[in-house]
Amino acid sequence: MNATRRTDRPIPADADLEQLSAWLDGELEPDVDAVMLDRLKTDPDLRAQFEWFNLAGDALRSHEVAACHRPQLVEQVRRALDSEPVRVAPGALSASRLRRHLVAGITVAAAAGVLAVVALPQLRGTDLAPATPAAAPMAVAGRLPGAPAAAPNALAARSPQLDAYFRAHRELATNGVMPSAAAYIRMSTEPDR
Amino acid sequence: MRQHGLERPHWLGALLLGTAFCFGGPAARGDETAGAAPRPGVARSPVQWLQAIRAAAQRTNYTGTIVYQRGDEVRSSRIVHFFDGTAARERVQTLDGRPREFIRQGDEVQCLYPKLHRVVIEQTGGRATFPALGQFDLGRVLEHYVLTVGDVERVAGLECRVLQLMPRDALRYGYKLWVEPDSGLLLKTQVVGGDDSVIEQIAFSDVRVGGSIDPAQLRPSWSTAGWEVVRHASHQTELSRQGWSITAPEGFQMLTQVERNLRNDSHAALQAVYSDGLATVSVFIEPGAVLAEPEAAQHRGPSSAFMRQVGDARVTVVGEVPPTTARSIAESVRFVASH
Repeated sequence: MNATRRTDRPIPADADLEQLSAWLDGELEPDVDAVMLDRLKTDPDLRAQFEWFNLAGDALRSHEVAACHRPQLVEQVRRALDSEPVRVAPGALSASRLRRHLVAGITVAAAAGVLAVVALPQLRGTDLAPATPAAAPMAVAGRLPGAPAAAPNALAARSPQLDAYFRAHRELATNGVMPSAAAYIRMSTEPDR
Repeated sequence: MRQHGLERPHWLGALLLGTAFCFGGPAARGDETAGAAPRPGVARSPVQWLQAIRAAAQRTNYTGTIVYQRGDEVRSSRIVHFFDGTAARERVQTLDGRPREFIRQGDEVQCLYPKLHRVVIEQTGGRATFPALGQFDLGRVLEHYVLTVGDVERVAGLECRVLQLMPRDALRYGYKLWVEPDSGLLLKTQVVGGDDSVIEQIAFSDVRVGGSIDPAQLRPSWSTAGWEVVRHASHQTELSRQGWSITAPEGFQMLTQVERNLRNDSHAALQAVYSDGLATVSVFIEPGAVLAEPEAAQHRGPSSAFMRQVGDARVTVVGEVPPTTARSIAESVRFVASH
C-alpha cells in the first residue's frame, strides 16, 4: 500500500507534498501559508491529498471515525507506518513527518483562512473518495451549562493565524496556581517565528 | 540530557505522565533538599494546598522530563528550574519536532528558534496591574472550585497526594493534580471535562527535586551571537477609556490590559487578560481588522478560541476554558463610546 494514496488521482509533486506537510504542521511563513490556502481551494489533487492525511490520522486516532469510512483503513495505515521507509508518493515526505501527521492529532480544515471544526457527523457516511472542499467553517457548538462537555479531543482545526493570539495569551496569562512553564510546553510545537 | 549536581534522582521512565508543576511547601524552599522536610501535606487546608503549589512552582529547584499529552498527541520536554533567592530561572527544551528552547529569567522569557537564528523576547507578568501576579487571592479560587484531597499515587517514582478541583459551574474545566507533599511540587496535572474525560495531561516522567543546579543547565544550547532579537512593543492601557466594555464570567478577575503588536507589523491590538486563579482568558480587540466570516471558533485540548466582528474591530477570545465560555466572553464585548 502506498501510504499517501487512496484514489487514482494524480499524485501531487514531491515539493507540494512537503509543503502540504509543513502547512499541516503550521510551519509555513504567513505569506506562504496564505498561498497554500488558495491552492487547496483550487487544486483538487492537493485537496484530495490533504483529506487523505486527515482521514488517515482520524483512523489512527479513533476507531469510531475509521468505522465511518472503511474498516480496514486503520490496519492499512498502521501497516504503512510499520514499513520502513514509509512510502510516500515518490519519496518526498519523511517517515517521521508522516508519522507526526497521522499520529500527532493535527487535523486541518481550512477554508478562507478561518477556523473550522470537523465534526464527526460530517464525516459519517462519507466515503474516502470525494475530494470535496474542506469542512465548512463553523462555530463550535460547545457545551451549554448542564449539557455534556464537548468532545475534548474533537477533530479541531489548526490555524496558524491563531498562534499569534495564543502566544500573546501565554505571555501574560502566567498567574495563580499553574506553573508558567505549562503554557510553553502546551505550545512547544508552534511554528517558528 | 545533562543531569548533575542534583539530589534524589527518580526515574519512572515510561509513560505519559507529564507536566511538571511544582508546588513548594508554604515556605520557600530554595535549594533545600525537599526530602529533609516533614510531611506537611496531611494537615493542609484547601487554600494551603494551593499556596504550597504556587510557592513550589516558583521556589523549588527541580529538573526532569515532562510529557505532554492531548488526545493521541504526545511530546516531551526537558525542564530545569532554579530559584536564585529572588527570581526563578528556567529552561524548557523541546525533545520532539523542531528544536527550540524557552529560557526564563524572572519575568523575561527568551524563545530561541535556531532554524531562523532568532530570539523572541517575551515579558511575562511584569506588566500586571491588578492583582499583581503571584498575589492572586487563592481563597477566591475555592469559590468556584471544590477541592478534594484524595489518595496517594506514585508519579515519576515519587509518592504524590492527588487533589481534585472540580468546578462549581460549567464555565470552567476541572483539574486533577498530583502533588509531591514534601516539596509541594506539582508532578502531574490533568484538565478534566464535564464528562470526566481527560482533555490534557502534563506529567513528569522523571524528576529530581531539590539540590543545586549547575548554571550550565540554564544556558542555551546554541550560541546566539549574531541572532536576530525580536521584542514586540507593548504598553499599559485601559480598554474602557478607549470605549470598550467586556463582561467576564463570574470569578474571572482582570489581571492586566495592554496595547501591543501581535505580529511583526505595526498593527496594534488591545489585550485584556482575566483569570479565576486556575483558568486564564485573553480578549483581543483589533480596531480596523476584518474577520472574513461573521464568527469563527476553534478548540484544541483545553484551549478555546472564538472570533467575531464587533463594528470595525475584530474580537478574539482565547484561553483554557470551555468553548462556550470563550464564546460568551466574545459576545459580551461592546463598543460603548470613545472618551
